[in-house]
Amino acid sequence: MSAAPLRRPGAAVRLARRLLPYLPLAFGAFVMLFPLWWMLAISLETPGRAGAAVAGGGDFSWFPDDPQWRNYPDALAQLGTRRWDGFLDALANSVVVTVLTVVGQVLSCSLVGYGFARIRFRGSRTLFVIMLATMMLPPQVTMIPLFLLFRSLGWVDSILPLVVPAFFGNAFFIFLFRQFFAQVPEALVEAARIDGYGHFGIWRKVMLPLCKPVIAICAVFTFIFAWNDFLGPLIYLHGEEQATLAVALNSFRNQYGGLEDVQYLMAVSIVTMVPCIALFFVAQKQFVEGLGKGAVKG
Amino acid sequence: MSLRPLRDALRWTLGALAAVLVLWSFARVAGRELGAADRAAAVELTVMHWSGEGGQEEDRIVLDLLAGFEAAHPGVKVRRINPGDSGSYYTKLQTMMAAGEPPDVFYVGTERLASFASMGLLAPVEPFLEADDAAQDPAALRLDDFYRSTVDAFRFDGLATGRGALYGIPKDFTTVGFYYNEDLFARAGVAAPAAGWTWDDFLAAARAVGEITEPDGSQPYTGAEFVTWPTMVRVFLRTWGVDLVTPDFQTLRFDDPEVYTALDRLRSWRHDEPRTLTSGKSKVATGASVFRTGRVGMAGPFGRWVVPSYRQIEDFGWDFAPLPRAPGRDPENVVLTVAWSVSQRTDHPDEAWKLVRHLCSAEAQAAAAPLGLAVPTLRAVAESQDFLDPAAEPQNDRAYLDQADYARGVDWPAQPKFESLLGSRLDQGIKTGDLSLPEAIASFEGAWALESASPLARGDFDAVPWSRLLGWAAALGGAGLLLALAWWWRTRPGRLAVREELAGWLVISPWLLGFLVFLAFPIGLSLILSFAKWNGVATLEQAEWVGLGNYAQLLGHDDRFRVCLRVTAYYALLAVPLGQAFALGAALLMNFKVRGIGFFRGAWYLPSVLAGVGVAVLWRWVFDGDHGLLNAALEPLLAPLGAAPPEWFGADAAAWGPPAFAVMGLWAVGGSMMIYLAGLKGIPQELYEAAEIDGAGAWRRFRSVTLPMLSPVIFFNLIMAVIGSFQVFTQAFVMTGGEPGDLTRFYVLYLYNQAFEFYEMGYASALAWLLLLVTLLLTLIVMRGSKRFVHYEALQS
Repeated sequence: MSAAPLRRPGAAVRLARRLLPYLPLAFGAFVMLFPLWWMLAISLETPGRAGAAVAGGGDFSWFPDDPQWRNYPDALAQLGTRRWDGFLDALANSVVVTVLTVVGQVLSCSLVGYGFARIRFRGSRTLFVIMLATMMLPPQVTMIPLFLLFRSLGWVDSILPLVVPAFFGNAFFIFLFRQFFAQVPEALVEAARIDGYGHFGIWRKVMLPLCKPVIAICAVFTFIFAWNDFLGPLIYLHGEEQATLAVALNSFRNQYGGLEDVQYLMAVSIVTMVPCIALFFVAQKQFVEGLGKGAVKG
Repeated sequence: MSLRPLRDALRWTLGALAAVLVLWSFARVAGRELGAADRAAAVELTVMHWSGEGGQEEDRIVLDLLAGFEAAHPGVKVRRINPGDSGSYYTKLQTMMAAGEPPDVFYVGTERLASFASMGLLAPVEPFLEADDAAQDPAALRLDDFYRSTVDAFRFDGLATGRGALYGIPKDFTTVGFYYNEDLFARAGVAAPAAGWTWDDFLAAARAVGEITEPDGSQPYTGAEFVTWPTMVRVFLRTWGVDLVTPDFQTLRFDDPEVYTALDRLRSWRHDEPRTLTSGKSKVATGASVFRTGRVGMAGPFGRWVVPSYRQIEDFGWDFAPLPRAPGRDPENVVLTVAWSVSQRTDHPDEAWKLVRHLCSAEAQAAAAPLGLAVPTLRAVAESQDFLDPAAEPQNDRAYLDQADYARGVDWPAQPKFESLLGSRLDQGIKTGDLSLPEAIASFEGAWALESASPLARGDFDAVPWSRLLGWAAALGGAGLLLALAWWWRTRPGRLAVREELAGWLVISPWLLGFLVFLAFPIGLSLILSFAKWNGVATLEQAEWVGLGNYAQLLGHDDRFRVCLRVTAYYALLAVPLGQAFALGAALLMNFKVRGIGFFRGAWYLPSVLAGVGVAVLWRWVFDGDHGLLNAALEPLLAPLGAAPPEWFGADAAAWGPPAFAVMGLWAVGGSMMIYLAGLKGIPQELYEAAEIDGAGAWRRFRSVTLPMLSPVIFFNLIMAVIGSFQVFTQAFVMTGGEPGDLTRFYVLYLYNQAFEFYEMGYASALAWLLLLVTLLLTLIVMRGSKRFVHYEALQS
């Protein structure tokens, strides 16, 4: 398959070449992992040492001498007003909102993206530009009008305002899907058309299987966004038992200023992040599965 | 190879765990919602509060009080909302108020009282008090039992607080002073502050602590942390017998030499003496928490709110000292307090009032007093052992009460912009020192004069003609639809093409529908609002039509806007090219087929997953000017060059603040990186093989194969980056809040300030539409330019 090299480099050179990429990779990984490691280390410190390390009065130690694993159950139990129930409710709420949002987003965005990429109809370009423009309006300013709208629908104080819009697509992901669908070789679509598929069939049978990396990206990004979203749940959900993890975390002891019990704050933060991290590692195989791999050669 | 079974097993376990978690979550939520359906409600009151510094304990106390109220009033059910900190609280309160559904009973801080009362959102409480008196209700509150200054803080006469009708019952309060480190005072040989101590004594103590020398010759201590919040600066000036403004807020008093001298005194203590006051560099240990490190002799002026946190200090002894007075003058102080107020719009005013009475009763205050967070407003409770508990620190509880006898509220105009602008400029002049004091004053005076001279500031405007606008919108929409239909019919293609066209519209219909329902309305409304003056708190009917007034003010009467625009443009110019180059490079790196690449991809992506308060704390620490990680790493590198690392968010913020955010953005490169990687994987290998056969080197292959094939993805990421660079918000909001001055106040942060702190929703909408136009223009430029380099393989074949 590959072109035959003209001369074979020596073994040492080959080894060096194989190891070379590891240098930037490892350095980058160190820099990138540092924040998480730091949070982990702080989360295992005693209150005094954690506060001092964060404020710069003490030293940050890479491995706490006396790791306080109890910080984790202690912190989680304190979330909300009801011991443990606060955490369990927040977890369940976050999962429900996130799962529904991801499902809605992937389905709607891939379909609409397909429409913009592969169906020629007059007005599509105008609509596409309008769609792009909607991304440029900062959400802070549509927040209150949207709230008025959802209130008139009677949806406030439920998860509907957080979940339902996801089923109607999101400009960012529609754009992303469109960019990828536009690259799929026309020959594939043509073949499917000859097999008697309509647009819906082409989307389901040809496009979706080809676009696993984009689906994975859409799912993971949406997951992380919905999981970490703070402003939406803050505004639309009233009761403590409805709060998502992001909201519960915010009302947890420290607000952006003070450094009291910062070890608990870090512990809860890390627990909140675990699902996002796990999801990424599971989904990353999909990310890199080649687009159109083995479909049409040449 | 041998790892595969293990990896599969792990994958399966994770999958199964996730499935169980999802099922359990849905079951739990469904169970709760179904159970809630048959809840019977007689009179339901909604109560909203926050629990900032008091944390869980404060929350628990309110919860118990509400349970007690429900038990005593069987017909009434109380729904409690606690959004957490006061910032989130006010954001949520504002949306609820704008929707015409505010909670019945809620917290109002003195600083928001003038705004809320002038907008007619709060019910005056004196009629309730009189009715209770007339009915000789045994539970009636008597204002005489309260510290008078705390009650007066919730009066407002339409112009200033402190007089007029009463709009809430203070639940607790505090006066301010300095917390001092007893151990450091002893080492410095300074006596504990006495009751009538002066600024001279304060300064002598601070200098002495700064001079403490360790055996190794180092001098690690600083005299005092002195916060320069606008309220505290005004109290400081009051002790010198002067103020910044005349009582009617019409005239600024900066030309008064005594005002200038007093301000300059504060500046000089910080900047002309090495270790008397903290440098103002640190962003991590701001305000109260710097005291806990044990490295400063005093911290203040703070109120009682730091006490729960300081009670956890184990390493040194501490106590509270009253606010120093100026030599030869009487002491001065300020009352800071929060009230329970009743909404003007409540359906159950009597029940709501009974609840307020209950929440402010002696029993309620006695329950909260041991928490130490604040001083009870009822004199009898404050004088009791519940508050003056000798077993709990600080020992000098009495000082808070003694000060209450002469303390007064600090009043602000109903226009919150005044305080914000003043605070930001004072910070520059006397804290970070990036402006000299005369410059800071001139900058404030200039900006404020410009603001007050704007046509928006005065003048009466007509109400927004909603019905006429609605008619116009309907007519325009209808005409547009007709035109579109007519055009479509006239140019309709053949039968087959019509089917294709209908299919197209059908397939994109989810977005179109969502756009019409969830976006068109808010976007249209925000467009209308950009021509209106609306505070975002009162209902829409009260909006006033100002025509192009908002835009005129933006372009001609708003100094801060210009600064924000410059900051944002500077950031965008740096962050977009840097970020994209970095992301593409990272993706190329991730495309190497080497062992363990999965781990590296994960590691590089990880920072994009991190969010929330913890991350904010982390970044503040990394970029800290005094103890920051980044500067600790840079210092040895720069020292040989004779340079020092910048104070990112301090004195060097004008040049280095936005770049710091760009550097932070590099950590979150994972998102763009993954999109590039997915694009790279989509490039057929055959193209590379063909190029290699043609004798193309690595660089040539990159230029002639990778870049063109990746161009649609580059185009996508570029557009997203341009849009994103103008929407920086969260990082700046939690890390710097726009400080120092406005040097890190990004466009959207300023927009947020206008909408949710200054209550100028119309103005914020104008800002948003201007932003939309700017980004749209930039995007169109990118799109135009992209025609030359974007290469859609499929569509051209």
